[in-house]
Amino acid sequence: MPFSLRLESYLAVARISFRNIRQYTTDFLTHFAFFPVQIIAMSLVYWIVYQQAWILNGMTVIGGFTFPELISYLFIAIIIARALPRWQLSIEVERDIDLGPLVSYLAKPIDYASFKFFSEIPRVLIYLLFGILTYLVTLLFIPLPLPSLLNVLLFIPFFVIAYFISFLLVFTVALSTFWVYRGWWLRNLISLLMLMVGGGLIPLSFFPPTLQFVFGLLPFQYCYYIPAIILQGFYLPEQLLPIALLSLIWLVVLWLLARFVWSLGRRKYEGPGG
Amino acid sequence: MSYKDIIRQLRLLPEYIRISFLQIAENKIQLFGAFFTTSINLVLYILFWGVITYQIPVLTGFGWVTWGQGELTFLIGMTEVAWGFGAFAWMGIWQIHWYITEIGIETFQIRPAGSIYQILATSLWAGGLIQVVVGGIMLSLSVLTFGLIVTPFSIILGVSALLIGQAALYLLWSCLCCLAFWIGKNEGILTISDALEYNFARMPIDIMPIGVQYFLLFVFPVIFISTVPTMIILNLIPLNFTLLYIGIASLLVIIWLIFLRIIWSRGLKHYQPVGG
Repeated sequence: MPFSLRLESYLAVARISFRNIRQYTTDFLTHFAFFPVQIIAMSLVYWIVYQQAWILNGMTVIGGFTFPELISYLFIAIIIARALPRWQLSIEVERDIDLGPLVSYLAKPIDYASFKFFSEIPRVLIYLLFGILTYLVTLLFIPLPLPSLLNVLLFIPFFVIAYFISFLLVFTVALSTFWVYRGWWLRNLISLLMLMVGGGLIPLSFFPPTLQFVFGLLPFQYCYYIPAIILQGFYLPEQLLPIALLSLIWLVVLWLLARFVWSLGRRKYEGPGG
Repeated sequence: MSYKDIIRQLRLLPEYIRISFLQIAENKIQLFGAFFTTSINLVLYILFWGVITYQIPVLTGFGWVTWGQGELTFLIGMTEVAWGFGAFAWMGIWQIHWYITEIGIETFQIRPAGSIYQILATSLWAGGLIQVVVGGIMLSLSVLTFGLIVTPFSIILGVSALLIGQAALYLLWSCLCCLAFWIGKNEGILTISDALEYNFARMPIDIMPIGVQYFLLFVFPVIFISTVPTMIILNLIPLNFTLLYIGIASLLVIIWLIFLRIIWSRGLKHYQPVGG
């Protein structure tokens, strides 16, 4: 199939996915309530931490963040964490393999991974859009730092890389269903690691130096931490090249791993019935 | 429902529990999975509070309790114990709206037992007890490592507060699930409840502003998941406050139980089974 035709069919997948979301608009919108709840819970704890750090040591900066910067970071990291693929994709892949719909995908002239990749895009974009709107509304009440246009432009490619990396991580783990019946615990594990080691709950600069070094070697930080601090302008543009290179290396490694696991799994897969 | 009905239904419970254990024994890798995930979860959250206490040694806020690394580690273990028990006993509440909107509740209706009771009992998940065990080990380790003081009496009171408070929280949650009779698929509302529980249960709610504390005590009683049991078991609050907390939890259970009965019976009148 020519590339343009293939692309067209995958874009159609994205369109259908968007329509599916619209079918249950109210239900989908209530999911956004997760943003404020998580941000309020985390902010309250950090507020106490900053207050006490000020009272005890006169500190206003912890891990390189002032309190408003940290709240802004949490906001951005939580928006990214909610937008990027995690639970939903993993559950869908697990269900497709476990219950049999994978057979119908295999019979079609499409690539299963690409199908899932494109069907996730509308959800990601809508979450991102609502996340940005929530941030802008919050700015009316709380004076949080506003990212510059340059930082927004620098953020976009890193967010795309984050989407690829998180998709590949979640997809590869979900493929374990080929071997492990009901591997929800693997799904939980990867989700937890992404959240904690990827900077979804706490900036990596808060950790002791040794742990920062170890976590810096892993791919998780490219999902939430790196895009969030780029948007906040913590990096100069010239510092971004090595980070981009490393993240691209991880992307390629994870892509190869996903292809390998997929080919192994397909060989093992049996779809009986009809 | 008469007294005899309740006794008859409770007699079924050991059988449901036995089935749940048989199901989990069928797939042992899930037991390993539960153990593995819980352990990693604990390590990561110890790390989280470790990073916080690396910046400041103790947390004090609007309550009277001082939360050091020991108390916070205990709190994390307590959360796992609570969630493990919740996964064991209350997993079914997630299924209520699903049964109403997709599967149908007719099969439960024609049996001589309460429908919600059946939904909860058939969804018992013995794997949650692994989480309870791992959480329990964590609690013991935190007591031994940090020299925390616990007594058998405080443990009994703390566990009572946990079980009653958890019942209050999940009965409220069941009421929300029953809204599916009128509004159909309502995972979003459950996401809000989930967000509240997931994000606040691991926090020492006692340090938060009074308004937030009241909200998480009376409106959405997440405070009973870990904060209150931790404070009671570690003897961090006086006995009269302990009894007050248990009293409030009991009152909430009664209120939400009454609400659940009303919502369910009204919902049934609204319910239309389709297909065959």
